[in-house]
Amino acid sequence: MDIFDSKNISPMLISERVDPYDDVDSIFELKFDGIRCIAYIDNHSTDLRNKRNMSLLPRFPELESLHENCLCKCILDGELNVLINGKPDFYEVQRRTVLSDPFKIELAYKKHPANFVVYDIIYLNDKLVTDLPLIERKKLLDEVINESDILSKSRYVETNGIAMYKFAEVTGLEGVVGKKKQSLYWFGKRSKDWKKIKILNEEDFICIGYMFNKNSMTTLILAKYNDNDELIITNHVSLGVSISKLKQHGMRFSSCPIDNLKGYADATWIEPMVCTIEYMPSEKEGIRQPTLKSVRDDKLPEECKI
Amino acid sequence: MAVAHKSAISVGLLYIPVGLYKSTKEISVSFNQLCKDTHERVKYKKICPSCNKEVTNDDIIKGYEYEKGKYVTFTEDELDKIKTKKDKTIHIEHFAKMSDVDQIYYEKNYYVVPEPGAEKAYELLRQAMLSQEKVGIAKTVIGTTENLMVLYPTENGIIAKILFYQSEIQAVPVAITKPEVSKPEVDMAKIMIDSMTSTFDPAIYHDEYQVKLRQAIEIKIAGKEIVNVDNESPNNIIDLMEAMKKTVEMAKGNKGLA
Repeated sequence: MDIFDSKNISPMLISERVDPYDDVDSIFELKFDGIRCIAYIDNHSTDLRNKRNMSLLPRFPELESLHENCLCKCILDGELNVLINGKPDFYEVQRRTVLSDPFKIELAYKKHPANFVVYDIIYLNDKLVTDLPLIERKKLLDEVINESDILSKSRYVETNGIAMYKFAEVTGLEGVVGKKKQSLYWFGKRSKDWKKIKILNEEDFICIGYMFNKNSMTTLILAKYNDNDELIITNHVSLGVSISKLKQHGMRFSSCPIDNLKGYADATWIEPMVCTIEYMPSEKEGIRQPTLKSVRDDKLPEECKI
Repeated sequence: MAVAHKSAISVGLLYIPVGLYKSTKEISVSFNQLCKDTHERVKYKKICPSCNKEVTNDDIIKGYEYEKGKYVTFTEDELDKIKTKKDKTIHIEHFAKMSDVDQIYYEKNYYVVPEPGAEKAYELLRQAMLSQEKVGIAKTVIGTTENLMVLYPTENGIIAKILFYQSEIQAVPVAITKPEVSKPEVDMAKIMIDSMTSTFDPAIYHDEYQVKLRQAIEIKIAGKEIVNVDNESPNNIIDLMEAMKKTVEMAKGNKGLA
């Protein structure tokens, strides 16, 4: 069956996060905080699938007419996003993905309509174009896409990743993606040809224990002292966590440092250790996508205050 | 759309992992009950009229009124023992002709969608049933209810039609008599039907009350939001990307001068 009809493409992925860089062999584009989608477009219909191959059009009906802005049958790779105050707002996208009441959906898109930013093309006029270098595929986009309020081409710059990173940081965007100009498109592959540069904040917390959750990941229990010098649990972190990382820094078992604590029956308690957590800046929640970066031996737990 | 029931069709040697998805959605606008003065959501409290105090879930047991004012009671444990063992598999008991299942038994429909890897076995079953115009009569447990269903093949896939049990179907309350009618009378009725026949298009029918209700709500929301919460930033992604290009170009220019 033709790939257009079977509609089960896994998009190419980014293998690593790096610090801002410049590279003459790369182009850089903005990373938009939305949902990665593959758009299947022919003369009279649009289908939009997320990475798990679920159709998103029932949730985002305002994008049903994307094909009206495309000149040929094609498969496009891009990001569905919703702008609020001029910036992509992931919380609005997330809220939309769980709305099922058609009237609430209608109210939502009349107020903040979604749009689709295209950064790649996979298929054009019944043929795969994945063997063309990225820079050639970008040229094809110019021939295919007629930009509108709901459909646009991702703008890119050559070489200057650091300057773009600064723009993203000042503007409050998620980050920047650097891609080799010659990179080919590999389905589902985590490629080193594409790198992300994310804008992250850091903060120190006191790790007071850990637990194993259902999917056998380890979760650290993070706390801070309040103004009355009482320990308060503030967050959990699972990404980047391994017990061996804690052991390297002399982890020792202890008892629960907080009296009358509920909901932590399965936790293992340790002597307080200071950990640095990396997270995405967020106006709505304290820390988003927290990741354990390192354990600090040079800072006392008492210095971590709310 | 979230899967309503993760299951598998079991028939003979075939075992086909599938998910059931709802085929309909709720479109009625639902209102909340608010206190007239404060606009707070009204809460329900369960009160026992004898003790005159609020009862929590822990204080409530189930009772069956077998005679006025007389109850036999059950605890949740006692009821759990009786409940059907949770067999989520869809067991096809036998196949039947499509025309064997009277429409009056149809309750609601689910889309049956194969899990990854099960597409071929699913397609096999669908094609075979469709070409023989047969449906699968099957049993499964959804939640805690034991369901009888037919697996119904269509051009696009398999539909699970939940059936009412025979004991749930009511007889017609008044017997309908069939008076004698003459051929000219029947012919006249046929002409009327012919003249009024056109293709059924479900898209042209709407719940008019819901349409008006939505319009009324939108007008009220618009009235409340005269002050837009958005600041004056342009809500256009192209503008944002063009601003980026300009900024990067300028930074490059400055570097050249330095």
